[in-house]
Amino acid sequence: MLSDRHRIVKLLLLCAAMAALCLWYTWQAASHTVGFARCMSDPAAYDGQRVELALWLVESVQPGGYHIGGLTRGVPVLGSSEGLEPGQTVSVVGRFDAERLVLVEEWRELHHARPHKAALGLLGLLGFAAYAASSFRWRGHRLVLRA
Amino acid sequence: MVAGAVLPDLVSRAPSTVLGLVHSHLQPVPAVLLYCWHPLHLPAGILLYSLLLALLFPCDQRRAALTALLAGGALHVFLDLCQRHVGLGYPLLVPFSSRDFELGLMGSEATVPWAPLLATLTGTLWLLMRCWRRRPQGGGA
Repeated sequence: MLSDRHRIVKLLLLCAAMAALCLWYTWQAASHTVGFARCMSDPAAYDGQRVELALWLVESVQPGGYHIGGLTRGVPVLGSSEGLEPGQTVSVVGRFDAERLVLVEEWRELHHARPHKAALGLLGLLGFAAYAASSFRWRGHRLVLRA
Repeated sequence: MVAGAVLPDLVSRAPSTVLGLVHSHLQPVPAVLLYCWHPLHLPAGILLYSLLLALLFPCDQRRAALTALLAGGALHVFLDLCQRHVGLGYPLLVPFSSRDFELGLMGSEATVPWAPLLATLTGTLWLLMRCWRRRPQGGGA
């Protein structure tokens, strides 16, 4: 597997395998996960459906509720909006209410440190890019370690 | 191994985060482009891209490169497994099973206060080791 024999073919096959894995997983997840958009496509069928929305952005806050956005924008959530501000990241578990077309919050976690985590991640990626550029170079169609 | 530990986030979280920001603030992005990267954060995806990257190295370095990439990836997955998320465990056995796992020992941001401290400590140790290796060798004729 790691020899030079048919190297280009192996590289192409690995790329194809990765693409197939990614597309298959996405299709699987889409067909098995029930999100707010699917509930809205047939409200009566999904009345009372438990919906889990992890790491979504708070878009707006009103008394007694708020809107969040992720894959779907403007998802209305009924629940205490105390301490919430637009731009914050939350994870919400709730039940879909087909009559009011809202998600009724059952549990919520506010991710205070999410922006810090994102900033640290960005710093880490920049550090890694600098490290990779200073440690490797491309020579003769190969990745070689710098001396 | 450093590359192996960073790559799961670099090839899966980075593109989905960037596209997520575009989706939230600029214009809608198809859902498939937001979520298709996730398997590259799982063992099957890590194995595939580690093999691919190892093949880019000269023949005599490929086995070592593959071992280091897989070891770094395993460390990354283990630490991620310690976290807890809402409804999002890690389906470690994809594509053979979609059952998800999570140890749930800490919140997903619990490492944030520790990261700068540990990064500084690691950087200091790395610099000290580098200086130690480059010190003039005494006792020569």
